[in-house]
Amino acid sequence: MIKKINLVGEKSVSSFIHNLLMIILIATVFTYSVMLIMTICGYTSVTSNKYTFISCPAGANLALLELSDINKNILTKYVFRLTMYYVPSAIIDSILIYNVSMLFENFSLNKIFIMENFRKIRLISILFIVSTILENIAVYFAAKELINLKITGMQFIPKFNLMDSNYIYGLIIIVVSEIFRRAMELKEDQELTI
Amino acid sequence: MAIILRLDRMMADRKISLNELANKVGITISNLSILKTGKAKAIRFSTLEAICRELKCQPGDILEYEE
Repeated sequence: MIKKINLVGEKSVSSFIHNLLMIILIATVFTYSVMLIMTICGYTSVTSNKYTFISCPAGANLALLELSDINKNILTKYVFRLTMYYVPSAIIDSILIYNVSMLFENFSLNKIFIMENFRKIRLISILFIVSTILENIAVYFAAKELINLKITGMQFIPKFNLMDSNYIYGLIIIVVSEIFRRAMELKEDQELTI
Repeated sequence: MAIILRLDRMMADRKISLNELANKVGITISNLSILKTGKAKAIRFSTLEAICRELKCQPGDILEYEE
């Protein structure tokens, strides 16, 4: 016997997603704040060893051990710039996750075709596109540090990424918001048909 | 909307309350109130038929067109 899964309403997949997104939001904000503080502390540290290791993500530390000092400094500057330039994008992403979470909360309360949801979906699509632009700007300007990286046989040429698929996803979400608005109008017509 | 429902006038003529008419027609008081206050966007023929039957009138007696 196949158990029917509730996608909307009380104790449904929507309420699970809402709760999950709230946890992800808190974890994201906390993690990024800690990373930011550690990066700033590492960059302003007096000791060059601390500067190298604290300002990099954990996995990158192992790779840094193998590089010459010139490359270590360049890579550390790159990571520092990336972390700092990512701040606007991280703020936008947090607002985006919050809005998606609230959207699923409305779904879990059986409030589906309402004006608030249409506005949230439209905002989500705009935030998605803006976040992608900011991320690409951050990566481009941080990557400019890598031009000075000296690895035999390799040359780094930073380019601004225009072919990001996230732009298409943002447009798709805008269309979905318009479909929501039409559905809202149909619902209103149906409710006011006696 | 250009189409107006003169339900309140007909209900007063027939001396029938909102509650009584709603029960006889088979719709809720809130829906009948929506019709009476002109907030309805559409009416089903079955509902119009039931209202005309209970109020013993023609559709033209309760529906008016105003430009």
